[in-house]
Amino acid sequence: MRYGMAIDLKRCMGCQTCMTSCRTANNLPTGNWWNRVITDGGESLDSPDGEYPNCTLQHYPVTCQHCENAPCVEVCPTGATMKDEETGIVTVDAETCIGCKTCMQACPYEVRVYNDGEPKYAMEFAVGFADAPQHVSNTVEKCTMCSNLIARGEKPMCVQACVGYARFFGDLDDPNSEVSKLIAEREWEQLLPEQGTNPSVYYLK
Amino acid sequence: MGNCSGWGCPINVTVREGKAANLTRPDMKLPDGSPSPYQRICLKGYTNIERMYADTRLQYPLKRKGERGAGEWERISWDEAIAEITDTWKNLQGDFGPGAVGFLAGSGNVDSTVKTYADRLIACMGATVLHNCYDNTGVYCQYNHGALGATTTGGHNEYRDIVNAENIFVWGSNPSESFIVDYHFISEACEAGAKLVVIDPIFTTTAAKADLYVSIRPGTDGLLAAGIAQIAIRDGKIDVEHMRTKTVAPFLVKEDGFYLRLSDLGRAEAGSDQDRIMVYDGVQLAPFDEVEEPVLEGSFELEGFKVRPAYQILVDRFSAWTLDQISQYTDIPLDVIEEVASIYLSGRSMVLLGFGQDHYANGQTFYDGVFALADITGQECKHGAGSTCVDLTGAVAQGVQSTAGMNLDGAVAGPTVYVNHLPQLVEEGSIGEFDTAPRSMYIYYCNPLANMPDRQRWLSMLDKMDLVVVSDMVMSETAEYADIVLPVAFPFEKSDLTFRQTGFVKLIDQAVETPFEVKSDFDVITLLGRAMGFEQYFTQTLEDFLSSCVDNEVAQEAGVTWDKLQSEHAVWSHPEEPSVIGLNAPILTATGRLEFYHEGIKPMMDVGQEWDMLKESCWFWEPPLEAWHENPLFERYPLTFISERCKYKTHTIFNNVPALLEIDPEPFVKMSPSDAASRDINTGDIVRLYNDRGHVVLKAVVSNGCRKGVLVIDHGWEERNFIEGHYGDLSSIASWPRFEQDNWFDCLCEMEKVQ
Repeated sequence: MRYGMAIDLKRCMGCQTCMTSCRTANNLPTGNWWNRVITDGGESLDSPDGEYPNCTLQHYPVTCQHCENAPCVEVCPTGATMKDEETGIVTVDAETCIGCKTCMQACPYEVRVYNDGEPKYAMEFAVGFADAPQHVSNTVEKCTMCSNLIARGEKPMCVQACVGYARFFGDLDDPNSEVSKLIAEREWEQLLPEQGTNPSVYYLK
Repeated sequence: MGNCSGWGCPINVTVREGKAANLTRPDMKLPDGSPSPYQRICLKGYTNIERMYADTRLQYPLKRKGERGAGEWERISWDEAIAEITDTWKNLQGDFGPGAVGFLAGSGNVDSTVKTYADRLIACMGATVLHNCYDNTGVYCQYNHGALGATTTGGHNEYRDIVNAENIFVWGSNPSESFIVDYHFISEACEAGAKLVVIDPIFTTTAAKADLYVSIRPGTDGLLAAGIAQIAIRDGKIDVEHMRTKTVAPFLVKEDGFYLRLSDLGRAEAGSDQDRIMVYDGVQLAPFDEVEEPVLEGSFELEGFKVRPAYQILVDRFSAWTLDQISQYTDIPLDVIEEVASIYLSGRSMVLLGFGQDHYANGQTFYDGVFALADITGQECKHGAGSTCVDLTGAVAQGVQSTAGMNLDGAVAGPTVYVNHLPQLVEEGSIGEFDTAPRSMYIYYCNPLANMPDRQRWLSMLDKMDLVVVSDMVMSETAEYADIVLPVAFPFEKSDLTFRQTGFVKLIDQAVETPFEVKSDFDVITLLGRAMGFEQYFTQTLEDFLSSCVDNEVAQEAGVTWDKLQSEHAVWSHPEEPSVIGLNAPILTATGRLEFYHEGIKPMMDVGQEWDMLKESCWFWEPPLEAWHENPLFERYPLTFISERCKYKTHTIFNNVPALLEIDPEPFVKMSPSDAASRDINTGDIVRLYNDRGHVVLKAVVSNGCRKGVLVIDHGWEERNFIEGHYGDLSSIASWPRFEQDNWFDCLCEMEKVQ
């Protein structure tokens, strides 16, 4: 089994609901965006490239790509970053993470965040699911693919919440899963294929 | 939650230790068991916990200590607050009449039934209703055409009908930002093969997905509609049958602008059921319902009356502009106009309207034009053809009827004053038929200082008030200028009923207790009502009131009952088929037909303005009042200022949410590379926008998506967010004679680099 996602770029309108739903569901500390929406266009958020009116603009929601050949796993000196054999999800064990940030340098997708000291929160109490991940000082963290939700048969929060109906989740090894079918039917791209990471996130074009 | 497209999107709130701790999406089903397409939540919705517990939340009633706006407050008790407010109101009403107290509500939590409870107090007091002026041009044009006022949808085609379109024209709206929860209908239509055309001065995210993006000069959309109409007429693409049966096209109009009726010919009593409108069959006059193929074109003298069919008047108005002139004014090449027309005229076309054009003083030239275009081409009254309007045309669930204003013996309704004219009324004491200027305002569900044009004029008006009371959840910009501030409950802290936009009547259960000394609006209005001496009308509990609002015949027929709502929370109460005016929903006009001609049209508010009824009765085009390159003011102020409805806020709602402020921390002005270069401005510079009304200082962002001559600031900021000044100081309060309208974008200014 290898859990993955397909994100329909035609449907994605860059609304960033994946970002805020993830933040609430996972009780994310201030500044720790596990989901981000990147503008492929001009220099600032939501701004297009090209000369007006012949412009181009495409949003890319980016989270941990849960790569098959994850560079972060390879470089982790303590084995804190691992690939779960059963699900294909790349995990970080906060207990063994020493916060050396080697993984952050290795990750070409810049999806990992470091808790510099005690994490700070917008809220004075824990929000999100009761079993939301802990955020541990001086460790590196990232998207868990909402493994707590997956374990009880639910989809990751960004998939549940996607208001543009652009995100799909399932088992890439199962040819009958929704994601496998979409990847079979549609043109797609993976981010930075030259890195040889074989991400589990496919972008439908 | 506000007046974003979701209008109170359904949210499951998880409570832990007395606090709202998690938010998830309910799994709502249509009667056929399929998932409801009206149930998702946008980026803002998922931040509601941060909004609810933000440090700007008000905790206690406050009374001003220093100067207005100085930020010095004294905590007072509810008893003191209610006594001071109601003592002042009694004195003012005794001295100056009931209208001396005015109530101003906005679109904050627009779908709240509890919000209407204030109507009971207003009616009992005979107080002045202060009517907001946003979106009135767009709304009234839809109303005048026959699409608003229908019970099942707010406009022509319900959102679900978008998927049936073969061509979608996003024209004056920015759906990826302000139509987020319903954007998926556009995606679905495009996946089914629909062409997407975006007409906008700004290159938006939706423009990037479009088959055709058309850049247009602001304020000229009505001319483009006229151009398409002329091409339709030229190419024989008009729908004569549709015009004859569904529109006022064949109705004969006399020289005085009124329809020729049987009573004019002495053959019926004026105003009676038999007094029908006349048409011409080519030989003689006849009542409209007795002729199958009435004449649509020409000018006739019949039985002593000079008459023209309404269609001829429209054609004459359109013909006042050549395609070359239209191309020149819209700044759209002729071949592109032809291409737009060719797409519109091939297959079912749906215009996704918003309130972009509404924010210019000549906004009606677009709305009247685009509806007239649909009338003559038959692009309406069928699935997939017509128009749908951001904010308005969701599925209105049936069965909720507020009882707030019912059974109030002896209550005399006060006057309604549109707030565009409120500063003038307060300054001059009377205007037109209005002779009582409010001396106290109760401001609830809105934040006018941050959102109204000509803010400096509002500030000086508030200074003249004896007592300004603001009830709000947070210390808004307007609350900062109040005399008394009352803290009210967050939507999760009170029960309520909502019914617009999603097809479901929803019972919102109070999830958590009100914190601090916060009270629900219902309790606040009850306290005020009792203290004003109307005890007998303020005896209901909230449950009494809400349950009474679903105790009516429509609710019974729809199967909506209080018991069912308590057990199911959301009850679908809407036709299964998407509502389309003129197909499965009635055309609610005096003629029963879609009206591109408005007989006997009157201005929204008579303040003695110049009024040309004949001109206003049918489409015409004139430029915006200010933002126009031929305006002499353009030489000094060559830039048009637009405020974009951005995804991070619904007006100023959510402007206190840490998560959203992390993403979008401060206001900035977007400008074209050429406007930036000619003023030596780079991204990150601090710039000053100014005109004769005021100025604002903020950061600059150079964007390839901006049309030359247009400056864009995202909307929803408050005074504290700007480096200096306020964007509300730039825009004018001036309005077209027909409408009472806030025309934020009809605004010229200049820009300079500060550092």
